[in-house]
Amino acid sequence: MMKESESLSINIKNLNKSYSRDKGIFDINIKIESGQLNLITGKNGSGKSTLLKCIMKLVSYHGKIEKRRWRIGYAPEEYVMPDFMTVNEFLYSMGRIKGLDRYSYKEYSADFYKIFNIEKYQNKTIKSLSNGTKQKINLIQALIHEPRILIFDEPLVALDYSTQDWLIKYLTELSKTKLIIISTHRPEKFNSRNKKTYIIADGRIND
Amino acid sequence: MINYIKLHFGYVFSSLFIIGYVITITLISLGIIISSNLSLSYEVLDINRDQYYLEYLSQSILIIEIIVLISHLFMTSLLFANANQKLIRYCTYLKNHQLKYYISRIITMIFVDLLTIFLVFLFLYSFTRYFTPFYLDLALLYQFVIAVFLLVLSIQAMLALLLSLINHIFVITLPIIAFWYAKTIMEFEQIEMFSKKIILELIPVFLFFNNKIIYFKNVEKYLYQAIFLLLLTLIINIIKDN
Repeated sequence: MMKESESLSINIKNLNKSYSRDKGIFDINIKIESGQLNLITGKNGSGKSTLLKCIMKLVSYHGKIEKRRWRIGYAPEEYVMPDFMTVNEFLYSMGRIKGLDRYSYKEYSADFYKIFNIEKYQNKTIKSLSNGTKQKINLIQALIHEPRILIFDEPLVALDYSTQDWLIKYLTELSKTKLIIISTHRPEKFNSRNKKTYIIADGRIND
Repeated sequence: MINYIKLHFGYVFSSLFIIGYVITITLISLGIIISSNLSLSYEVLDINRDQYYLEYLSQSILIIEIIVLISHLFMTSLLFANANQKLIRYCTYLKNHQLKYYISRIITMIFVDLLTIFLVFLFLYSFTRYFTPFYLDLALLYQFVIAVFLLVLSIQAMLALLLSLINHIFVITLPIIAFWYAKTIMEFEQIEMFSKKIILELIPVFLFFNNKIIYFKNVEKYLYQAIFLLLLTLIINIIKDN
């Protein structure tokens, strides 16, 4: 069994993913480690989401991404949750798919409903929720199975200022034991000392 | 796998879809009732049983074919649409889990097909037995079940492949047009038009003749063809970017 304190890392070597001659990511060589917040920032279309999708194996790529088979939680930028499912139905499906039994799901989901302050939305359909609440569900589905690696694509989008501040503190706390990668347009909001910022421009990282 | 199937069910069976599904089953049931000519009275039908039976059976099957096919093509377009494709982002990062996601999607599609076909044929059988003077041979009914299932599955497989290649809702019209064209063919012998031959090679339309169901080619070949198309769809889904 792996200990929570064991250091986690993702080693990316010569990563290339091109959509056209100048669109994509090119020659990415980085080692992302736990114990800090790993921020990926850059302009729109610079390749932030593509990099995260490569790590998640959602797109084909050239190069190597070395990581052990740790559990990963991923919150995409775009919410693609089924509109007509209730929050609880959706999170239950996600929890079960990600390996939780129904008892663990009950326990974990109750915690997350409380942490994210969305207890009253449990039985509401996703369609009826505000974008901010959808973002919270989007984040919870990534956290529900207690993954060792967390990948968040623009997690602050749609959240109000106080929730953003709370989330940053929460993620900073989690980063002590987990490997966290966050793509964001606002790296300055993350005022943790333990952070590493990767700036991506035109598909290349300037470390 | 069962949890993936539940997720797809949750995705497909929205309240709007359930309303549409109930309307579909109701329309088919109404169509079967109207085709029975019961309005002429039970006694009239009983006296002219042979005359009305064939008309009743062929009309009922045609109604089942058309309504089940069109409604299930919409269901297929929901399952293979971009939004459902993107759901995989939530599921996992392991390729074998992604495979489970795609396989369960096909299983969900087939399960809903079987459920609908079971319901409508159960209605057809029960209604015929208890409310009409006609006798419906179970062996024949069983053949019809297979024929309708194969037809729906084949056209769904084509649509699934098309949606995986060209992600646009408009492609749903292509299999519907193909089916419509195939239905204009009244006999399978002496077909000279190339387009008709191609359509019949692809779509297992069937004719009901002399109390038998006739296909253009061997029924197993159609089944293998549908399986091949579904496997191809699976491969495309796995390799394509999400």
